[in-house]
Amino acid sequence: MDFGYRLDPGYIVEHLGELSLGLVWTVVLTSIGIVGGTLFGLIGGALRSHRVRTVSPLIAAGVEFIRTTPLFVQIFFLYFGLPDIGLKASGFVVASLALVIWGAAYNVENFRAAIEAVPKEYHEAARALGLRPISIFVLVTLPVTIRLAIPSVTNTSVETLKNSALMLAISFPELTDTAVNLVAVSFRVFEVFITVGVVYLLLTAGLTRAMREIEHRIAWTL
Amino acid sequence: MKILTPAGIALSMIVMASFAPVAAADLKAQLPLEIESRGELVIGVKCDYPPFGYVDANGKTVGFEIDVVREFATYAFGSPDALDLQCVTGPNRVPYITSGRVDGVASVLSWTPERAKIIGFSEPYFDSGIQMLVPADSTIKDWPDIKGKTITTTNGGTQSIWLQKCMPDVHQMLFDNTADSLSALKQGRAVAFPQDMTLLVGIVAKDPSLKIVGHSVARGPFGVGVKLDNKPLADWFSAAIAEMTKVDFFWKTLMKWVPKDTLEEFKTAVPRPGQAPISYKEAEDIYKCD
Amino acid sequence: MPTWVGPVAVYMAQGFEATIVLALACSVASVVIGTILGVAMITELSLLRRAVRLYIELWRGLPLIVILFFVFFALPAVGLRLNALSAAGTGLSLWGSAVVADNVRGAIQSIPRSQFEGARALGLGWITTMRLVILPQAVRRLLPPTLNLLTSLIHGTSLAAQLGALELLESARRSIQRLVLDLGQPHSLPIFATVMIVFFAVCYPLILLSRRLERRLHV
Repeated sequence: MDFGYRLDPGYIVEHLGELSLGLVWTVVLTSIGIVGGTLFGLIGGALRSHRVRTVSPLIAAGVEFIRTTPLFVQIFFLYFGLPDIGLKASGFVVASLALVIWGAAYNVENFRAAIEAVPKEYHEAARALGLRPISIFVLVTLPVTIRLAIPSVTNTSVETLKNSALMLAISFPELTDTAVNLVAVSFRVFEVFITVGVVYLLLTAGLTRAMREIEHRIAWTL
Repeated sequence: MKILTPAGIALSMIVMASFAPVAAADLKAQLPLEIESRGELVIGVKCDYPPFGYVDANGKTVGFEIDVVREFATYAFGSPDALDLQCVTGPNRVPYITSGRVDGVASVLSWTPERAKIIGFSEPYFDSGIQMLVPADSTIKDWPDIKGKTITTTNGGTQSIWLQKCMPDVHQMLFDNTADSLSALKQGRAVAFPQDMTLLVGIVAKDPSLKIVGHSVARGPFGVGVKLDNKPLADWFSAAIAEMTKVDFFWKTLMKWVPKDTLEEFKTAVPRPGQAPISYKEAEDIYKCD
Repeated sequence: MPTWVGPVAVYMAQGFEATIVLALACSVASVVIGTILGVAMITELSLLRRAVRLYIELWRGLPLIVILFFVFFALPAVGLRLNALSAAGTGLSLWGSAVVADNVRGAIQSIPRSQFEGARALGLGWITTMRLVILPQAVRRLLPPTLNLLTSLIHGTSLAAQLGALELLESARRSIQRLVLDLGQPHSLPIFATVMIVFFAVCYPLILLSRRLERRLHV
């Protein structure tokens, strides 16, 4: 193996501080993306499946556009493009917004599919019991929906985590951006990228495990 | 008639030389065999850094360094097109060298003691320092004025390292290309854009809404970067540079790329016959804070 | 039409060509490699199954951009020096094949046991069973997720811009960069909007097709 230069794992130790800060930002950004994306996805999915007039087709169009265009391009558009018409936001706002919008778009589909998968019998039984539509949704549809949606929402959440790495494009100091900047001054591609790769593998594995735990817990309470 | 007299030999050599291809300038160094047999040089250059290397309206890569590199190709193989240009950025230009993707890079690569441990350098072909680009109405006059503020620049550059060492409280917004940094400055995302003054001069010439401030710091001459163990190639580039200096190639080429009224400032930026040669000595404490 | 539009459009058309070629190449590679790996996952050989499982978890657990950086900068150490476009294609194929492998495994496992048993009762060998009975049924179930993967791969080509490969996004970025440095006016909004519209035009039909196939499968 010819690395082209002499490896020095000590480099990572020296820069543990910067990398840790990058990791913190990754976690913060991902959390915002997952919470915001899931919440808005649920609301959007509910509106879509109930065919709420006016709003529903708008949501559908928005979801369609977000899902057919690359997130990477969306980020550039929001950060460098919008200021052309006076809409300038900080790197943090753009990064968070981009992740939340992206996550919400995918979760709208996840939740819509889950809502429509709730067996009709549940609705009929609830209506027979005289429950109002809102109560039916909150007490009957929602719990089942959440359980049905967890696998796809987990997927979207893990994708959000991986998507946070794209924020290097707008110089937001999350983990991958930090890694690239370290490589830029030290040229130590192997030490840095292997370290960062391992960290991401641990993060994605951890997130998946956590979501599975939630799934088991909910299964018992529903 | 004996042709083999000294005069005869001299005459025949002159005749032969005038028919010889423009190539094979009699450099005192030999091009490494691997490159010789390939028939072309593979060089990494900047594609976003006028006037050194950038992409013009026709999609062609042009610039001062591109002209220099084409001259290298002419010296090596007799044609300015015996060349494969690869676009490199601040972060990837050294990995491009160490992974053998290119024979060398001529991409505003400043000599620094740290880099000299990882890659080899030819003799310098350009000398420059770092200054700051700010909006014309900015109150910033020199480096102390940016204390605690946000600046933007390209990652992997000497200015970034200098700032990290000498002004660590300045927040750096780093991009891998100059235009994103320039956009960030113009959008008010940062208060200043520290960068090579040659680049800034070119920008200010076209954009009166910006001005250059700050005294020159982190003076680091540019050289052609090659693999550390490829001294023969570094020597070849140095020999070519020496030849080109003799015919004042660098000054004549620079004149094409720099606005006329700023030409004076660059008199000592390039190697010229009759001038003291640019040396890496001053870059040994390139990061000294003043 | 303002004068800057012409050269930019030409340059971006060049980038678009590269995007399509890259997307097609890694789609084919992903499907071929992924199918082989997916089938490998349902064999009796537990070592093979575990190896493929590791492959899948590895490439699906990393951000795509980190995979691309790694392929581009790290592979030269083992002698594989790829240019930006090929490195992007390789990285995308590694990720894509992992997704396809998982999908293929899932699709095959969703076919009722009775099919396998029936084939065995008829005396069909393992490979023949796969070829004539299992895979044709699996393919129907695989169409929607594969179309989704195709869309993701097309999106993924835009990451090649970070390696400096000249595809659609990079051609847009370089044009904007040139305009900023030349004219002082980047025109970022229309240029990035155009890039998004092009991706929309290419991916929307795929998503529509995927959705229609999904509906037909459930009926």
